[in-house]
Amino acid sequence: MSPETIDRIISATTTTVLVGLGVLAYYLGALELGAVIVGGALGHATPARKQRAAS
Amino acid sequence: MTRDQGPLVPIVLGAILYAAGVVLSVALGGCGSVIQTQAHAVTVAAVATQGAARMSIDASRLEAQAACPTSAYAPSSPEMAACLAPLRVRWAPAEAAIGVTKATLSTWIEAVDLARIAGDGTDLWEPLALAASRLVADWEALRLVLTPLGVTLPAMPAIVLAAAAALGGGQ
Repeated sequence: MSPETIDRIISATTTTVLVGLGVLAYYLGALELGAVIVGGALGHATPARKQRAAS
Repeated sequence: MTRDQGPLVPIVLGAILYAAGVVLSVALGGCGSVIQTQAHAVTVAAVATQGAARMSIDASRLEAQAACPTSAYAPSSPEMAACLAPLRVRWAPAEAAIGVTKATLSTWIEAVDLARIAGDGTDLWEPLALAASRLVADWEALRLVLTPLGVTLPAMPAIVLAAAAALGGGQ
């Protein structure tokens, strides 16, 4: 296994942690913040951003 | 939910935002990030996770006490259980997110430790495969968390899946 494997594992762990924090922010009432963190972690626009971009 | 918890909520949300910024900056740096930076990011994320977990649990308790007061329902009665059931369903993703995030923090710490000793001749196959295996399980748990929220998790990188599969196949 190469350093690339370590790199990908670390990358996936950071994504998972970010998504987990985003979900908790969402459940603490910060819906937009949670959506932005989850969207940012997963590397795509959040539904709210997409909606704004479309309008 | 958060409205009843006073000034602590903005503090915890600030910690989450700060942690997200630190973790994202490390994520963008990839493995090229200095090990110390990775270690710092793990610590910040752990503190934010702990605070957010505690606050989420408190928030769910407050909501349960408001919706199903002991003045209206006898504790441990079927009526109380029926009253609490929808709240359990509503908070299930948060509870699962706490478990997944804490477990993944451990895997992250382990992976940073492996990166620290990589290249010095130590055989990293087994610990890496174990870390990958745990991560695949956490990823699947996270997928289940996100589905009710309408968020689709992308596939786990193939190289991580291969590393996890190697554990069962003996490399």
